[in-house]
Amino acid sequence: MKLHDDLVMEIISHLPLKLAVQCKVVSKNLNHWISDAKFSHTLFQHQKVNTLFFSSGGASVIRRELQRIFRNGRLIVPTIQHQTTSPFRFRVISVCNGLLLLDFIELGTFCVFNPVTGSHQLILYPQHYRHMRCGQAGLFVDYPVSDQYKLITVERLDQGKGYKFHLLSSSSSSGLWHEFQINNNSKPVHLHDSLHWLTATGRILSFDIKRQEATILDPPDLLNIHHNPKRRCGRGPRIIYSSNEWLVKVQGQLTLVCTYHKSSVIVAYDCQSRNWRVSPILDQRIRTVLPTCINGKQVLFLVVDGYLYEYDSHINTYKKVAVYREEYGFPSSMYPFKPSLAPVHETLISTRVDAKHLPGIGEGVDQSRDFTLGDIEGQCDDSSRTIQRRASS
Amino acid sequence: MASTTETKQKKMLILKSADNDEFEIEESVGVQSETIKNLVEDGFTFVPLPNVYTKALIKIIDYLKKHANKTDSNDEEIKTFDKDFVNTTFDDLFELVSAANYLHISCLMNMLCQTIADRIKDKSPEAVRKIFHINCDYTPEEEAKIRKANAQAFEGQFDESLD
Repeated sequence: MKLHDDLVMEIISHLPLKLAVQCKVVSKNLNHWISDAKFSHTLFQHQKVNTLFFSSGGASVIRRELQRIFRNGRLIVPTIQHQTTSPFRFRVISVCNGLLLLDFIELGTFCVFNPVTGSHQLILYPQHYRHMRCGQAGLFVDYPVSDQYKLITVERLDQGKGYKFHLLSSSSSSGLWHEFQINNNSKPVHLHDSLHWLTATGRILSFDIKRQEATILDPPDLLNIHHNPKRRCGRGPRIIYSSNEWLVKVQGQLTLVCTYHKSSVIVAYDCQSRNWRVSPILDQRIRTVLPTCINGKQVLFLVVDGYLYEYDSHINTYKKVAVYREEYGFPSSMYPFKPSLAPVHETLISTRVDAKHLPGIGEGVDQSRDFTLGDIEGQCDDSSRTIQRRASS
Repeated sequence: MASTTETKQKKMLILKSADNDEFEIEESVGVQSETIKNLVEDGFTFVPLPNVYTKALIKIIDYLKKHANKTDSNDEEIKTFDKDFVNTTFDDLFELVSAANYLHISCLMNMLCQTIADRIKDKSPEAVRKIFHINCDYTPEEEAKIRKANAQAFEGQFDESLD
C-alpha cells in the first residue's frame, strides 16, 4: 500500500539525523519537506540530540583542534580532542541556530557552515578587517523564521576612538558589507535579535540586527570594587572574551561572569528593567563557563577547580553538581551547538577565493562535519580519537 | 476482597471495520485510542471505523488488550509481544501505521514509526523509493547535484533489499 505523505515524513523523522537528510535524494517532495523548518522541529523532538560545545582554544592562541564536551544527563563525558589535518588554521567563532561561523585566518575568509547538511558558504572579510587582527565576528541566523542569516564584524578604531561594525546579509546578491558606527550610549540593549561582544575593559558592545543599531553597555561600577590587577589596559580595549570575564545569554538575561584571583561574581542584565543583578560572591576562581540548554531551559554551568557548578539565576544561587576532571580541559570560549537543518546559501561568484585553497578549506569543513555528526548521534566513546590523515594529503 | 470488581458490569463497545466486521471490546481497552475515547465521551457505544480494515483492526485490538493490562510484573511479556507485533512485512506495517494514526494511539504510532525507520536505515535511496512506492521525480542531473551536496551521507554500503 502507499502511505499518506504525512506518515512517510513521520517515519523519516524517526531516522537518525544523517539518514533523514539522506532521504532528500528520494524525491523532490521529500527534499522540500526535509528542508522545512517544521520537519526539523519534529525530527529533533524524536532525537536525543546532545548539545555540543565547540571551543577553539584560547581566543588569541589558535590551535589546530576542536574540543568537545558533551553532556549526558547531568554528567560530563570526557573531552575528545579532534585534530584537523586541514592545511589552513580555522576556528569556530560563532554559533547560531545550527550554523557555525568558521574563520580561516590565513585566507581572510569566513565560512558559514551547517555540519548536518554539509553545505557551506565562503565570505571574504570586509576590507581592512584582516589587518586589524583584533576584530571579532558573529553570526545571526533567522531560521526558522526565514532562511536568511547575517554576519557582523566588529573592530576597534585607532587610538581608542570607538568601534566600527560591518554587516553582510545572506540576501545580498552583491556580497558587499555595510558599515555602521556606534551611535550613542543611551539606547536600550535588546537581548533578542542582538549580538554582543565584550571588550577587554569590560564594556559590552551590542549590535541589534533588526534595528541595525550598535550600542555600548557598561556593567555596574561595583565590579571595580573587585580590583583586578591582571586587567590589561594601555593599548586600548581589544574586543575579546577577556580571560577574566565571559558574556553569555541565559534565562533571557545577558550574563557576565567575572572571575578574579580567588573569587568570582556573576552579574545579569535585565533588558526590560535595564537593571543589573549581582550574584553572591563565589570564593573560587571559575575556569570555564558552559551555557547550555536542558529540557528547553537555559542553564549556566561553571567549572570551578575540580567541580562543575550550576548557577540558577532565578534563585540566584550556585549548586555543585558534578566532579570535573582536569583532563576535560579548560577552554576559554565555548559555544553550545544544537543541530538544525538551516540552509546555507551558495558562495557568491564575486567571492574571490583562490581556487587552489578550496580543497584545503573543504578538508577542514568535512572534518568539522564528521566530528559534529559523530557526536550528534550520541556515539559516546571515552577515548581520544584522531581523524586519520587522508592518503591524498 | 479481591473480587469486588467482578460484580460490576463492564462497559462494552462495538467497533466496526471498513469491511463491515464487528468486534466487541471493553470500553477501558478501547479508550487508549483518542479517536474512540472522544466518541465514547460523546455517548457512542457503536464505533464505525471506515478507515481501518479487519486485518489491521484484529491486530490493533490485540495490542490494546495487551497494553490495557500493563503492570510492573508483565513488562517483559509486553516487550516480547511488541517485538512479535512488528515482525511483519512493510506493507502490513504501513496498514498498521495508517490505522494507528487514524485511531490516535500515540504509543503504537511511535513504536511503528521507529520500527519502520530502523528497518529502512541502511537502505539505498532506490530501495526507500520502492518500499514507500514513491516515484523519483528528479532528473539524473538534479539527483547527482543533490547527492553531491550531501556527499558524506552517501558513503558506505547500502542494503538494496526490499524486506
